[in-house]
Amino acid sequence: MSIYVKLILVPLLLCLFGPAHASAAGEVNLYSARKENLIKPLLDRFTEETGIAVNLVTGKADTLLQRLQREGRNSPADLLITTDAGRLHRAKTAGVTQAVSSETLNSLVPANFRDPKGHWFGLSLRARPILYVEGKIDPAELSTYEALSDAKWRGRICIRSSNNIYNQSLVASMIAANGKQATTQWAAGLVKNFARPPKGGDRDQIKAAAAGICDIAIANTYYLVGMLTSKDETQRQAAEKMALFWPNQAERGVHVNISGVALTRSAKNREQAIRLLEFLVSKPSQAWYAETNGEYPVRRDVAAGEILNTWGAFKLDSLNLGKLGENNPEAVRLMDRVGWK
Amino acid sequence: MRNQLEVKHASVKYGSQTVVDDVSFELESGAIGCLLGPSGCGKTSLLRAIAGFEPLAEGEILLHGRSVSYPGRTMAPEKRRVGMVFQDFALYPHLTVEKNIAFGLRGLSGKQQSERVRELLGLVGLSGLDKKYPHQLSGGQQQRVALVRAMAPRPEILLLDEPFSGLDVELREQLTREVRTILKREGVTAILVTHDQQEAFSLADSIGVLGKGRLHQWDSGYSLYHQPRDRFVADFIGQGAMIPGRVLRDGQIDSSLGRMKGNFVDQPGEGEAVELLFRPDDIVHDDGSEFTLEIVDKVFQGAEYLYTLALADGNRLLCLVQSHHDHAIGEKIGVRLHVDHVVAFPVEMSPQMDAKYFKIGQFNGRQEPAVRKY
Amino acid sequence: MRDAVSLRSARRKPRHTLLSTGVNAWHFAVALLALLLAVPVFVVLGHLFEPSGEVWRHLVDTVLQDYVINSLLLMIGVAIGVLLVGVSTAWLTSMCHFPGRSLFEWALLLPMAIPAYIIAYTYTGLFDFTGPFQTLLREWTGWGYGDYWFPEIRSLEGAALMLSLVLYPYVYLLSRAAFLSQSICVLDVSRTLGNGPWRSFFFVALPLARPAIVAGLSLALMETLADYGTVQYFGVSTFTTGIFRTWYGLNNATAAAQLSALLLLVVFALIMLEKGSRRQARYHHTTQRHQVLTRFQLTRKQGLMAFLICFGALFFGFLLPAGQLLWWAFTTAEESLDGRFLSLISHSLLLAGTASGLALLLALFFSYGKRRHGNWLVLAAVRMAGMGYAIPGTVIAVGVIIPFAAFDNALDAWVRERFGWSSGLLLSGTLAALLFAYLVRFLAVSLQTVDAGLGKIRPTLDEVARSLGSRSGEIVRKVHIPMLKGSLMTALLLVFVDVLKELPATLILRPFNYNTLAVRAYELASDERLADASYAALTIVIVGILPVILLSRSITRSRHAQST
Repeated sequence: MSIYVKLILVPLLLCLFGPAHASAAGEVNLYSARKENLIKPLLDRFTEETGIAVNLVTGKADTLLQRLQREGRNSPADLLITTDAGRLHRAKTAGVTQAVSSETLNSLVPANFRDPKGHWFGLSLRARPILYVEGKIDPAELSTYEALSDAKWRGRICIRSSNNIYNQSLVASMIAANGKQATTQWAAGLVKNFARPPKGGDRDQIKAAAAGICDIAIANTYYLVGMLTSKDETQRQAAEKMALFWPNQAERGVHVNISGVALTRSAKNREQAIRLLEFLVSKPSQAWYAETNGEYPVRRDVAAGEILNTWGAFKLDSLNLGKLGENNPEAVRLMDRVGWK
Repeated sequence: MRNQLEVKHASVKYGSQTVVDDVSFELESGAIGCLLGPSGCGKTSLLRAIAGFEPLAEGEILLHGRSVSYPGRTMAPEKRRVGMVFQDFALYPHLTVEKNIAFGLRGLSGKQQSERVRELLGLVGLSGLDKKYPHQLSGGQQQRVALVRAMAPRPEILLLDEPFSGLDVELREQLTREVRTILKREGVTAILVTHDQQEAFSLADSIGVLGKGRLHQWDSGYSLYHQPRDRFVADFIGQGAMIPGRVLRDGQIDSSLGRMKGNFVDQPGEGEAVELLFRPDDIVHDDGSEFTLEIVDKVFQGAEYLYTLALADGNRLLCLVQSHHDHAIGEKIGVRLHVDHVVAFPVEMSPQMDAKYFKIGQFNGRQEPAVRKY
Repeated sequence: MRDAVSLRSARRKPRHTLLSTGVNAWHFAVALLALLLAVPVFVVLGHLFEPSGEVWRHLVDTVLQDYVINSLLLMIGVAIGVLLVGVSTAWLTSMCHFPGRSLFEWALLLPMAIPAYIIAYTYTGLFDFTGPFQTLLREWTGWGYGDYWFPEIRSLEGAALMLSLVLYPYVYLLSRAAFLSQSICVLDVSRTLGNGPWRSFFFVALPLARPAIVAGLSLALMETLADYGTVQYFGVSTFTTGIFRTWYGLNNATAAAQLSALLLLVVFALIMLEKGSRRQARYHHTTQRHQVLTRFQLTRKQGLMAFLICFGALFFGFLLPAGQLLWWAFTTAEESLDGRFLSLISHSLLLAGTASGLALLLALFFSYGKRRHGNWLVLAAVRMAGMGYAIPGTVIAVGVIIPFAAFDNALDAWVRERFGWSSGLLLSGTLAALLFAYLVRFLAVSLQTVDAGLGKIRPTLDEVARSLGSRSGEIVRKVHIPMLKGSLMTALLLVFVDVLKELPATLILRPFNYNTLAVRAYELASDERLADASYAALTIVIVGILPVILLSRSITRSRHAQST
């Protein structure tokens, strides 16, 4: 028995007093909703350049936000990174962020991709255009998101579940543009046009379209990029069948969301954290998003990656993204009502 | 001599139900006591109270002079130094015989332990089986292991909870005698719980008869049989017949068997209705006797026949007769009374109706179901 | 009158103290610890009384019905699945002789090591419209979309199938242990009473194994209710997806917690119902006379059937998904094995090892506490502590964060006021908080297993030990633990594998820079990089297999030790 006890106690003690208190003063502590492999390399580079260590916890935005809120003024976190603007807005509303007035940031990040008061800043753009099967559809038939509710698309559209934040943001942006009522009607029409009940992720929609289940898929660009550069041949083949259409170019522009960052109110390493913020919008970092993950840089003066460039320039929705957060609950209720699973 | 066990006005309750009701008795050091009664009479609860598994609602229990139980306080069983043998033996299947027996041996060196184990195994004739596992033993062997395991730490008292009920009849009789010999040789104070009076008679020095939680009589086997203090004891112990009678002015009792002098706990008044107890051995078959009775039933018991005889008024008597006196049902045989003490009970004292079950019919305790409730 | 032998003086003199059996230290210790572990559950339940605005009306009007119906159907589906597969394979491997039996004995446990969402991904990869299976079918036949019928893997039925495939080992493991420990006598009695082997199985063996089967089933169902990954990926709206939609989408954490609380109440009601239906029945053996188990010799045809049933479960639950993972790992994965990967393994092992050990100790403590001092307070507290298994890990995690952070901040405020310095967060964000969450979530697993085992030990075995002077600790150590070896190993393993796979609580509660295999697999998979996730997923499987094999060995050995 004593051996069993030791077997349990020793690792337990190691646990409790080991890595738990790894973070030291002068290091930046980061709560990130961006996956580790989509942020860690940048952080490593930052540490290399500045000697400032960065500690990372990744997770889902809402749970990280919850943790931040509950930990209150004692929270170790200095920065919160999310993959959509809505959550940054929520963090601001919850009062866990603080304003940063940095000339660098204000000049580099376009105004609609940061909080007017400096509570959060966009890092990269995630555009959600319309993808179609080349040859099956004449791009001239496509125009706007709104037009997708037209009866001619009956049974031809693939889009993932409304549980997903990108769809919630899309609908939130349409509520901002067209109002609640028009958007409800639009969503109802769109649901009728679904080729199948929503399932899977964005890549699955692309695969389904390529396989002939539907003609149109709605997905974020970086998923298409990921498939085009995949080692898996079937993924590449599927992606190559698809073409990209930028909707709403004549008016407000294509829907974009951001991944962005906020300085927490409890930040104890403010100075180092702001240095990291500025590093994340530096040219090399911005180029990295585009190269590694097929996202568009938030800075206009940084070129997008090779594949992204082939899709040309496009107009993007200039809506201040804080609106996405405000409208998000309404968007979900609306999709509940029209039966968008 | 000091009393090893004293039970004073003990009561045990399960919720509002009283299962042991104001029981008192004492047991001398080295004596073997027995709690005897039908199932559900509270005997096991009383035993468990002595062991410390059940708290007392009233009264007190003293072991070797120190108080171990009284209302609100129950010394834990593990502190009482009682040995207990359970109905199901409760041997540890994962331990060898040796380890089972050594289970309660504390503060001894390994050598002392194995010496004690060997000594005990020798005592019960199981030498050489120390490395076996319980399931490799026969029922009787398991029983003996359970017994010596309980005896191993030399407890203040040994409690045996229906220890023989799981065994077949022949083995049971043999083991009962064996266990008595062992207990006596070792000078162990013990209490046995059973529903089988033969077991009680052959093992115990004194026996307490329990019914519905009450202790009816604490006495030797002989006295219980021949001088039962009440109807319940009379009915429960042995066989017999009850014959109605009436008390006469001189204290004698008149019945269809004639007049005789009765033994009473409380002498009834003149004219009161009583019942007289006649054991089968009180009625002696005598071909020369003028008093003849008709045989209405007979049971062959090997050495004897148990005849049921009808009196003129319809009452019945039991009569034990050597089996070479083989008479047919319907025949009349001559009998005479051979009574040392006439035992009589006032009729209103006649306890519960269910006691009637034992009145004529032969009680065979072995038919009690083996499954016990906790 | 008795001569004082040397033995007497050597014995420990019992102290002449009287111990009350009314309320004692045990009650307090067990109840206190159990209540402590129930805090997160109480936090969740506490939300029931908070106002949550108009959200409820919206939910009731629109989606709640779907959530309830889908969850129910899913539970029914999984119940049927795990019972069919789990009980039949358990019976076959414990009572019959057929080729491969000794291999299946442990191999049938393997699916347990595969996280449910991973098997969902692999099956989708294989059998979806765009997967190799259907693509090949179309190439051979020239059919196109809509020309033929093929079962849709990403559906409610599919989700039930996926969950059944990875959850049946719970039923298999517990009911097998029950079958093995059944005295062959009761089956023989049944057969002499004129029941054939089939009737004997259904009317004797099955009812006798019922507590174990129900324990396994309830574990599988609770895990089903808590599952998020699979149903989310399959687009099935269940209570759990609803909880997260309400929280993340509608931004209403209170209403989400209320949904969780409702879920809890339903689970609670189900458990009570089951307990009630069992009533007074006792399941420990009345006899100690065990016959050595003689297995039924099957005919060739029957043997083949038995083989196919077991192989089917193993194939679809493990070989196929693991094969797909392996294929991905070799062909398309871009992930490489490096030093970081090793730290993932060591973190996972450390957490799983510690949590399973602690859960086992707690389960033993609670189980014994219930057995020995089972008053209503103890029973209720232990029951509450075991409820965490039905709650989605994320909700539990929040239920852990709230009290821990509140405690830390209150302590900090007090220290600041009193001493003028900050104690910061003492427990929040440490592995201690994470381990606590694991215990809350998985205690039910070890508790059920230990309870089921302990229930089979007759109370007289405890009593005889007490009459021989053993205190509680000694009884547990010298009687229960050796007799329960199989159950204890099982409990240890189940929690170990569960923690290995656990994701949501790990994700939110872990300290900085602390990754595990499950986190890595999930991050890649949820980024729709399934192939890259295969390394981590495979490693979970491999690390999970080792204890499975060890466990099975030790169970078999412990049986041999008792029957020779």
